[in-house]
Order: sequence, then C-alpha cells, then structure tokens
Amino acid sequence: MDEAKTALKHFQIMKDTLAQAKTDYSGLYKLWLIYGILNTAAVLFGYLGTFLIMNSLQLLGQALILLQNLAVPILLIVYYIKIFKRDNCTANKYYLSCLALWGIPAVAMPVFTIILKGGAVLLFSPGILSNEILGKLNSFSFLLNMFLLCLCYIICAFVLNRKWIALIGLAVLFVYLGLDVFADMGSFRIEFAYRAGSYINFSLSSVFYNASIVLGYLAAGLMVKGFHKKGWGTPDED
Amino acid sequence: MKIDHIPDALTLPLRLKLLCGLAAGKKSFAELKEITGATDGNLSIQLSKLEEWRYISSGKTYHGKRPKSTYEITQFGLQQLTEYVELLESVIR
Repeated sequence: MDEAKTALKHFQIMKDTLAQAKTDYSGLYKLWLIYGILNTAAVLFGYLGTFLIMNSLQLLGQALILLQNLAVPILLIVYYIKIFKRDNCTANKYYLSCLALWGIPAVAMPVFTIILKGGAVLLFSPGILSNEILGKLNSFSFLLNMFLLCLCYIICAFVLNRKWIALIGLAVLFVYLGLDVFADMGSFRIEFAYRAGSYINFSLSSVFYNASIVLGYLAAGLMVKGFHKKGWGTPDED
Repeated sequence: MKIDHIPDALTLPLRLKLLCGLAAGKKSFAELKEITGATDGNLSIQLSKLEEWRYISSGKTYHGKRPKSTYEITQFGLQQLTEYVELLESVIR
C-alpha cells in the first residue's frame, strides 16, 4: 500500500516537473506572428481603402476600412482564446503570465477603442464630430498599440533573457512619440502626387507606426521561435 | 530494476525532479533552480552526486564573456529513469 502511495507521489513529481520544464513558448510566438500577419493585412486594406475612396469608389473603400477595423480585433480575440484554452493547464505559470500580460491588453485595447469611437459618435452630432476628434481618437489608439508593441518586446527580452530586446522596444516607442509630436509639421510628412494636381500625404509617424506594428510583431515572433529552437533563452548565471 | 533495489539517484524527490527536468532537455543551473525551487547549495550537491553516479553530465558554454554551466541527462540516466517509470507502473497495477 505504501509502495503504491510512493509510486503515485513520484509519478506526480515527474508529471509536474516535466510540465514545468517544458519551455514551450509556441503560444506566444504564434500569437505574435499571427498578429503581425493580421496587421499586414490591415495596413494593406487601409491603404487600399484610402486609394479606392480617393478614386470615387467610396463604398468599396469604406467597406475595406471597416473590415480592417473590425477583422483584426475579432480574429485576434478568437486566436487568443484558442491559444489560452490550449495552454492554460500547463504548470509553467511563468509562460502563462507572459501570455496573459500581453494578451489581455491586446484583446481589451481594440474593444476599448471601438467603445470610445462609438461613444464619440453617439455623444457628438456629425457636425461636431470632426475629423479632428476622430483623428485624436485614432492617434490615441496608435499610441496604445505602440505601448503594446513595447510590452511585447519587454516580454520577449525576459523570455529570451536578452535585455537589449527591451531597449529596442523602448527605442521604437520613443521614436514614434518623437515623430508623433511633430506629425503636423511639413518636414515630417511624405507627400506625393497621385493624379495631376492632386496630392496625398502621410505623416512620418503613421508610416513608422504601420511599419512597426507589422515588422515589429513579425520580428518578435520569429525571434522567440528561432532563439528557442537554438536553445537560447536560458537565463544568465551570475 | 527491483522495488527493493531502487538506486539512490531516484529515491529523493529533488533528484527525481532534476532527472525529469533534464529529460525534457539540456538546462542551465538557473533553469534547474527555477524548475525545482531548490536552494543553490542543495541543488549543487545533488547535481554533483548525479554527475558522480553518471546520471547526468555537465558542460560550460560561453555567452559573451560569461561562463554558463549546462547539464544534460546521460543515456544511462535516461535508461534508469525509464526503468523506474516502468517499475512504478507495475507497482500501481
């Protein structure tokens, strides 16, 4: 009887240790890779939508922009729930914390910004709801997303134990903040003619933002995937 | 392996944790400390014993200028662990 008890106890120890030792961060890197891919599609849809609106294809352009605004958060929420359900029984609480630390704000932020925009539409009449207010709300959602990207790099730095990755995340955030402060100045905008006499211009901060949320997440996902395969990410010993 | 002749390496929970942790792959001292929750001193003693009994092997790698001790389970260690699991299964049955 005692032998059976000891056997069960030792089985439990082995099971727990194996689960703890399993440094599988596949959920994290898959989530970031998927988010990077979704952002790529969203950026392309956004530019294409703008291009269509400028070429008098208002309805199609607006449909694309609406798809861009709704599809990314919905797909992200669905994928996050799927990953979290798959991994929430793991004994590796450190991994779960990382997943929750980035995932919960990532899922909550788009919902929060949609509520803000919806609230603004309800509160202000169309005349008052100027492009300026919507622009500020967009700018606010961009800022939240840049904070989220920075958080992703900080988590990445801890997971891989490479502190320089966190510095890159902070540098990207500060560059964006710098560009955003001067976004309205002429020298911080890119302008080109798309038709004789018609010009289109983008602020450098929005171009930088789009590049960051696409390349940033793809790079973070690939880093965790690649470094983990190479056996990196083992904590430094003092 | 017999129930009345279990090797010392498998009787202590911490040693068992170390072997299972290393069965999942090569680990550094810091990782093993995190997995087992053991103190530096205790961990160091148990790792030395397991190495002495040839259940595990250690090596040093360099990350920049900093040396890092890494441990991995030997073929013998893995075989003993497998036999022990089979023994435990037979006891439960």
